Amino acid sequence: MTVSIQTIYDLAIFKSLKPESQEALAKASLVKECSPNTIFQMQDERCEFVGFVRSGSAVIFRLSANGNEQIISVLTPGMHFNTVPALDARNNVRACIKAISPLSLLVIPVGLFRTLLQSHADIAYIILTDFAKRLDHLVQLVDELSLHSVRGRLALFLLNQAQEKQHSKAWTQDEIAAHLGTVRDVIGRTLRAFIKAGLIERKNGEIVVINQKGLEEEANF
Amino acid sequence: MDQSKKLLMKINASLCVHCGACSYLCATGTIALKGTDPTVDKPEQCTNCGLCEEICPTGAISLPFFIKLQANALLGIS
Repeated sequence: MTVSIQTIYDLAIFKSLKPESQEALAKASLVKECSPNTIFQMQDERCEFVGFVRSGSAVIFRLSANGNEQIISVLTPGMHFNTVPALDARNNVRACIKAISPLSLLVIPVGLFRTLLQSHADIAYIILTDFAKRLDHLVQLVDELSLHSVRGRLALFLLNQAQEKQHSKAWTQDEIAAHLGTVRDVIGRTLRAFIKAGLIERKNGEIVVINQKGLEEEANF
Repeated sequence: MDQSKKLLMKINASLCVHCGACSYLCATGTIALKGTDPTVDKPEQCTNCGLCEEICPTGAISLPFFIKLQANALLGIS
């Protein structure tokens, strides 16, 4: 399905582009729809397209050799993926992507994406700006994984989620383990240790942070 | 809390080894065995105690939970 200029304009990342750049993007793009729980990309496959999320959400994760998932990021409307492998000589995608709700994507084949960046400076600039943001996110992720123990990472995760007012979500221990790059047993043990230490309590389908200061100390604030 | 009413344990049948520990320990009879398969029999009786999830030796049961901050958590008193 080819797309209209309005479809391009509706994506926040492209709003500020010159009309001719939006038109070039519209000509190069297609719309792709995915059902929930569809894994539409496997890590190490050849990168065929760059994707921009129009609506819905998806999770980007890497699989370790023993099958553990490390969630890299959650894609929400306006975000994009595969811009790195699209520009890299190796040209293989770095991670798997799974739709977690009905997902609509704007996709641009790799060859056309490269041509667009070379011919439209304003498109190249917004992609670079977004690269900078994502690099910052990855530095933060490396910091959390390398400088904090699982105990510290879980404490930080609980504090962040407890303070999240807009997108409150129900979590399972498996999902938390995938987010923190560990396994469910470790999450279960650490939650029990936090309960025993009087930092949190579990009641009626909730983990309640009852000692914020104590949890902040665990997170190495 | 109203949100917890929507939260029910998920049983991953492919991980279950049919030991029956979950139904044996469930204090409210929420989980019952049908043959050797654990099933959520009386969901309205679940108190979200988390015991089934904790006791399951293979991690086949997942009990979702919300994460909240208690109003006086900053003081460290409950």
